Amino acid sequence: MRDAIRQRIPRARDTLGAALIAGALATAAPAQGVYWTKADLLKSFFAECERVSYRTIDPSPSQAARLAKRLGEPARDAYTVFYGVGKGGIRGIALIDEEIGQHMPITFGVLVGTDGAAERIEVLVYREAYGDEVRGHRFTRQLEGKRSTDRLRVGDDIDAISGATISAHSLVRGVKRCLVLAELLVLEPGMVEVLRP
Amino acid sequence: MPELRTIAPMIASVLLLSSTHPALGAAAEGPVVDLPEEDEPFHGSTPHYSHRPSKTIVGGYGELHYNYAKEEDADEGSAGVDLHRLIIYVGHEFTPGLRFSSEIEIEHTLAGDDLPGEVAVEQAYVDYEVFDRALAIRAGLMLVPMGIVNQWHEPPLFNGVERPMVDKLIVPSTWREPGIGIALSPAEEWRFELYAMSGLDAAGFSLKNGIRKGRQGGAKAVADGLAFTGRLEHEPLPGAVFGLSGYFGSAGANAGLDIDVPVAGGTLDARYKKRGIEARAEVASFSIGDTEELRLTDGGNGPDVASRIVGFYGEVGYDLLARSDRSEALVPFLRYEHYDTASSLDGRDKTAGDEAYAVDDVVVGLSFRPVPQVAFKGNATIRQKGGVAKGETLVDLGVGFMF
Repeated sequence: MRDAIRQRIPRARDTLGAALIAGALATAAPAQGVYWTKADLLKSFFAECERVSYRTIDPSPSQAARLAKRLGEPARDAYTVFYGVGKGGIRGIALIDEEIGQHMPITFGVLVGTDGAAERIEVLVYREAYGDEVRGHRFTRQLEGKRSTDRLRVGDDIDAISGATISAHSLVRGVKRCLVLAELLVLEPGMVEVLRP
Repeated sequence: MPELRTIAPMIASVLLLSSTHPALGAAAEGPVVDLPEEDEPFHGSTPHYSHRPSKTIVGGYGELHYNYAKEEDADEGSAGVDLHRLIIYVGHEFTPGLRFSSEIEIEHTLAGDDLPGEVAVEQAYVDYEVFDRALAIRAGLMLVPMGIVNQWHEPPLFNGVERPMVDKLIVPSTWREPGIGIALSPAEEWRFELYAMSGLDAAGFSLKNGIRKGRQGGAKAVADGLAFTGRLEHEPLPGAVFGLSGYFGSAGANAGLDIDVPVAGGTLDARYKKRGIEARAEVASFSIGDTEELRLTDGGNGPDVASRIVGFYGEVGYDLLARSDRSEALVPFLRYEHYDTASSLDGRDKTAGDEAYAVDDVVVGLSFRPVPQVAFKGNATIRQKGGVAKGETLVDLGVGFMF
């Protein structure tokens, strides 16, 4: 069975149970095409942690200039970074982002370890009729362990899925952006300093 | 009352739940999660999708061609330039699992009486995900899932300025018919499509073009003869995929004839794209029944078509920039094609003219893709025809794009 179905089963059953109790079947079932909610994905990313929090980071002018150079697009005014806190301190950071596929945006999340390497990539929402194979672990595991300085080029160190070429390029571009953001905004300036409450 | 959309996944979930799932309840435990009140900001190159006022998406693709052809022994060739096709894509997302997709095509820029082009609806269908991607219902004007290029026909997705001839004369791309069916993906390495569609019109069959002019494309199509078609795809590794397609239909009724004219076809194809290597191969064959009787219709002036049309090609290319520090792709490629729209004839002997429909093409070319969605392409083709027919040399240049 696909991961997606497994993801849906608990939510769908929870929903059904609640609906039966409430006597109203029409309570919110997850919409099709949505594989993770933001909260569920963060819980799964940081399952061993006690708390997941976030920080909104406004890049300094010099950070913005370096981001623009590394990303090939203007830096934004602010970026949201999620992080998990457990007994041993900050476990890692997560970014949730979007990248345009062939026609529709793909919403995805990246878990980045404290060493700057991608640990896990998941697609939250996939909207196009074709190419959703990029959601699968067979594709995303190629991105695990990658760092912002790695090549991350479809056709060289990453293989596209047939019929999902454009989506593969999009997801890889998005993951690379998240790795650069994690490096320049959080890891390089000192994670504990940046994420201090 | 709950909508079907709401209940269907729940019912399906309950049916699938034979025992307690290990993940059940996991979401209730785990860390406390703080979330920003506003889902902003997102870092993507587009504004956060859910903040967009419209879920209607516009896209498109197109290709401009320069074609030069010179017949064997001729002193001079002839050249032409053509905006072969420009397609406007319009899609709308009603919910993330319920979508409409359409393509409207302008071929050869000028359409109308005595003008070379045409305006056509290429696709217009609704996808309804009953159970995520594992099971979707698809209905409307859809692509017939045969071979590689008919479904993946956007110009940056194939090498060579023109589509492979096998994907034009044997599988008549772009082949689309109205119908309904299902798309299944029970596991990520398996994909399956099955459709009932309107069939072909035997009145359009010919030796030169095979079944190509028998496509109806949903244009007030006669639906007396139906067709069933399906495709199974297996992708054991990312970038290596095998496809097997089948087609069964009858074309006689749609031409208003009493004879059946059954059409059965199949394609077997493979694509490989890893570490800079780009290779693909396809075999396609269609058998047409009652061709002898079809020839005798209309007082003996009925369509003259082969009882079997067949073709295959193999192509290999290598991205010279794959290992460099460049993001572009520069792919020299070589393709060999053989196709025959008069492979077998029923009820009469093959003439020298029929032999000329057996063609061998050797294509050498280069594709440059600055981004995956844009390709500048060039190729030269040595074409040899069967029998005593003269061969040809062709040179094509083109640019293709999709967005």
